[in-house]
Amino acid sequence: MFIYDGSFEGLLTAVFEAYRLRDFADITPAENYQKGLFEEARRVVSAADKAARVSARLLALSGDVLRVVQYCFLAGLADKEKIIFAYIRRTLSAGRSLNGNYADPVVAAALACLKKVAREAERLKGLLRFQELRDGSFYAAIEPEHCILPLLAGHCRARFSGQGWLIHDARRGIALVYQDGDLQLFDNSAVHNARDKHAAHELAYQELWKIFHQNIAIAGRKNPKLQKQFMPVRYWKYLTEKN
Amino acid sequence: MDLQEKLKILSAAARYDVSCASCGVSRVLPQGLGSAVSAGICHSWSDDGRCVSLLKVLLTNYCLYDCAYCVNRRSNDLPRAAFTPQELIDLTMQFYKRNYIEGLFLSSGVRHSPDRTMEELIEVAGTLRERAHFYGYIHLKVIPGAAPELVRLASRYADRLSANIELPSAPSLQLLAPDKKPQVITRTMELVASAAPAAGQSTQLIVGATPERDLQIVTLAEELYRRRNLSRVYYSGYMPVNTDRRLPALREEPSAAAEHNRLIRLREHRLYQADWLLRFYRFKAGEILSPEYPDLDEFVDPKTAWALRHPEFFPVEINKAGYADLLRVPGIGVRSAKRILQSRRFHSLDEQALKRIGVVLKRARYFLICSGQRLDSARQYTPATLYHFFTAQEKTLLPGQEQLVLLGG
Ligand code: SF4
Repeated sequence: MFIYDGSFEGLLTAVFEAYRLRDFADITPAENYQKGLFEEARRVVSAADKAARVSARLLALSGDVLRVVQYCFLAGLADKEKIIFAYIRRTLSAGRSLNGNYADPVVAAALACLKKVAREAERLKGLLRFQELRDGSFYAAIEPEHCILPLLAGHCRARFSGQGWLIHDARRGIALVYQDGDLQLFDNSAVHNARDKHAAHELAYQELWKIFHQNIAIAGRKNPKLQKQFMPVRYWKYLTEKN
Repeated sequence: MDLQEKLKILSAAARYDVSCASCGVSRVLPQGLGSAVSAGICHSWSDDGRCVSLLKVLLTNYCLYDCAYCVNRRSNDLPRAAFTPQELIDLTMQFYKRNYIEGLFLSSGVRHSPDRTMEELIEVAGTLRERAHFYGYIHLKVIPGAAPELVRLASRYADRLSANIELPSAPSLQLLAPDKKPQVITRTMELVASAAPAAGQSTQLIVGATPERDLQIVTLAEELYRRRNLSRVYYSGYMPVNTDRRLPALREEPSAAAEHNRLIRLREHRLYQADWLLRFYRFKAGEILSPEYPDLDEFVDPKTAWALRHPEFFPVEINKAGYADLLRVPGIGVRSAKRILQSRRFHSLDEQALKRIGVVLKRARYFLICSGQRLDSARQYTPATLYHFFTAQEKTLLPGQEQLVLLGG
């Protein structure tokens, strides 16, 4: 058993160590680790150079391989390390990208994991709701299943470059902040409740949006089941039109 | 009248417009607000389960015309309102900044004249682009009969333009919308085509208000795609909003109304499936329907219906068949067909592999073989048995499922 610190660099370092020691035991983050009776546990110390060698090796096979690993790492699934490690081993032993091989169970598991992450990121590109604050900047909170903030960065920077904004992943306590052309990922400490700091006209626009949302639906065709299927209830907490 | 009241009236007035897609352009500009994403983004889903992507409103619901099927027709007594251009610009910008929308879909009743209305629509789009530096998505309706230079100007500011063909045939249009001339609509669509807006031209037509069969509608759609180069055709199942002796009667009893509702949604759904076959599955209208089968089947989707009529085409060998043939198998969509081609390069595929690839085996198993083998339990069935078998499986249909079909193929 390899125990790593939960960072991407740590995970790749663990992979490096596994190959170096020719010991392909499970990799698990420290926060999930429970000591088993007969297990030998090795604590892996994150090392940038070791991680870089693994990512360079994957990149040499194909950019897609590294991308699969990165996306899977963002997954909020308990067995993501297993999926990633199995995928890396399978790919490295084939010596080429197997990403087209949907029929391979190991590759299929990794691609399915990637898809879950990518899908939630796509969903939240739509479901994100900003509120304008008194200083003219915009605030949005989300509680995604997967850690998709990094995947929103490029999209939101391209789209909202004219305004300062902050997206808060309230579940993980991290925030993506865009200010004066600069994009950064922060931990929780700087984020406070935004509600009492609304810009003067913020509530008026929220109200207008709700009015629009109600009136655009055809009354004779109400279909809450379908609505929930596309827009699962777990996202409603931060949706202006549902509050 | 305050803005809330106007928004209430003018969004309700636009809700029968079915097009919402915001796809087709990809753009990121350095300064200003916004970008457009080519796949399109749904920002919400309304209570009827439709994707909300654009601020879809009418500039005004005042109208000179008296189209029988339209809530906003002149002879209806209802509250009327009109946005000022500034109000619309402000709503669009503020909604966009809050990530409520991808952009604006602006249509209008014809208050004074087609040209005047067109000028007002252009003023909104032009100001958004040039003064407010708005780079989100803009879809403008083109008013039939608007002058050529106005259509050209509109296409400078809008990503997509649409002129509604309204009904499936010229006689139906003359009957229900005598103010609109078929030649004028055709001419307007030609103008839009030559103005070539970035995300293309779409159109919309109402089905179920007039007696055309599905064959006629699917053939019309094919012509619009192939000859007129349209990007999308939208079908709007007729909702009885007016009493008019030219229209199917309003049904008062709730059960009859519900049944009408179900059938018209089902028809819409089947038309979208057929439309999908035209656009992405290399089907011809004449393959989907024929004078012998002039309507889409109520119980099975059009691709399955085709397969059951063509037993000689099957089974398809999964490890050899080309893309076009794979696409003909019920249960194999665009994505699975591509994955089959990719995965086959690694090794030949069996039932488990097909499952992982995402083929809907429940349906596909009767139509394919893997390296010469029929799938285990699949015995030979006659088309008639399969039809009964499939129709027994078909769950009650959810309206709006065309969106699922879009994703799942
Ligand atoms: S022109 Fe348009 S708004 Fe006016 S009545 Fe006809 S369909 Fe309705």
